[in-house]
Amino acid sequence: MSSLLQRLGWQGALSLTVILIAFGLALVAPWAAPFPDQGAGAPSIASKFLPPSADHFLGTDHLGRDMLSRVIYGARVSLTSGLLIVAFALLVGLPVGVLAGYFGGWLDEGLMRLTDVFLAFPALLLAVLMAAALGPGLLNSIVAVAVTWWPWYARMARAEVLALRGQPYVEAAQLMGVSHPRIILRHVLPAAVRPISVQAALDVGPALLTASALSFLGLGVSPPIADWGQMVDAGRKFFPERWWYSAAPGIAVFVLALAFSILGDALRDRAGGRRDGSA
Amino acid sequence: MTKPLLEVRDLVVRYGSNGPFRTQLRPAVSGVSLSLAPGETLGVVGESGSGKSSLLRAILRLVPSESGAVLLDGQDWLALSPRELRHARQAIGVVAQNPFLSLSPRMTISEILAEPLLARGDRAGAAMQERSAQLLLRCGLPADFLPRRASALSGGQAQRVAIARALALDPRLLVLDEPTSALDISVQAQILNLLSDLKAESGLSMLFVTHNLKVVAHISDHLVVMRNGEVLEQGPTTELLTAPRHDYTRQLFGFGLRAQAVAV
Repeated sequence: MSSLLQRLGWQGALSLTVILIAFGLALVAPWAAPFPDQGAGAPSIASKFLPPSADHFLGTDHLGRDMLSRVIYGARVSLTSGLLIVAFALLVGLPVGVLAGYFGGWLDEGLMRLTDVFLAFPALLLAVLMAAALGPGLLNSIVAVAVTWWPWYARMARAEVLALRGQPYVEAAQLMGVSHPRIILRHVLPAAVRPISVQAALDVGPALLTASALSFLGLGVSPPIADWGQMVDAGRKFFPERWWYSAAPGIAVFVLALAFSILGDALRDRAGGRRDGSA
Repeated sequence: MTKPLLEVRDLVVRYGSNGPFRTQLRPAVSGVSLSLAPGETLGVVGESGSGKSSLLRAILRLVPSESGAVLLDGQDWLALSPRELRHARQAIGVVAQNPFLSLSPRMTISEILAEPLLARGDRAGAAMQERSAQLLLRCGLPADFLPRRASALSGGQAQRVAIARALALDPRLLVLDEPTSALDISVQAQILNLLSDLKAESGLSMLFVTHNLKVVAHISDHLVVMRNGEVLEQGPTTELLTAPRHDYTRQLFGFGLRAQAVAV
């Protein structure tokens, strides 16, 4: 643990802790939430709009649901969407970029122009468009954001592979008659993975922010499932008198996105130092 | 004279000349011809920019040739399709200049030596380990180097691994691209001795490219001196060294006349 702290620095270690806590709470939400049924969506009108107190640490919403429970349940949606957006985007962007960078020529031209088409639209606008077309729902909003995300990985992977393709050890493998798939898997991908994974870690924060923005606009998860973006939106109507309604999920999004961003930075610093040494 | 193993005829290599609107550059290699008999070592020497590296890369088909022919064992090497080339390339072992760049930093020596064997279609296993150990031994390294990584070796040791890898498939031809330039002077001699030994014991054919005539002089049977993309002179090594026809050749051998060469 001390070596981890040394490698990430205290900011990195702190943000990793925040992320792990969020993961833990999301996993055991039914046990961690003080009012699990309310967290899952059951109304309790009698207790509506209670300000923060000992019973309801973050107050209650317009249906009397405990905000702390709602925020804990909301972590499930935010983390799932943040991670899956990046995962889907990698799943598409990585192969596209690697193939374009490795083989070059017409394949490169074709794939990169396709990538440019997606990059030509403002990301959020494209995501909104996609989400509106696909309809509400967690998976749909994830796909909608991932569609705007993969071109960045495609470009990054292509740039990495382009640099690696000229490395003498990749050339040596070609001269030995090693097959292209094997060269890509054994020589190119392992070297490209580090910088790309750092970028992916950095991106989880913005990705879950974008997903929250979609549900804030009413294009994400539909109630009664707890979702931070949608909660901020619902609380807007009662702001500023019942400030805690919007503030609690808003701060949760902020803290989690910030944590991912700082962790990504810490990873990048580390990777940067290591890369200069070896390759 | 026996049939040549490698024959290059009027080879022209030109960079940046593909596409309709690109400017035509002066060719990096303009009309080079040479031939290498089986069991012989041919040294290609020239200063930076003489076209020797472009010639080598064109022979290995790492860069396209504009015109001319390359024949390996009488086979038209430049006509091979990419698929055919992949297998045909296994007849040529290549040793690059810097072993720390040409050996993957992520692989153990054992994995590095297995790579050409796996590419040929051999099965992984005890037999392959045995083969790798033999290769190392042949290049003067003990088998306990197998689990190490190239980054843990000295320059000379790493270059021995690179030579072992190049020999893994019993190539018809060993191509050496400045194999000693990245090494210390004392280690250079060791690597050259290893190559001499390999040549003596197994009749290996070698194409040896270097800027340093001294390095290649005692191992080569024939020499090709290149300048500005052309062959300045070529012939048996002894002949060229005792009676060079050009000052340039004399200068490559290191008579301290570099400054004059630049002035001319």
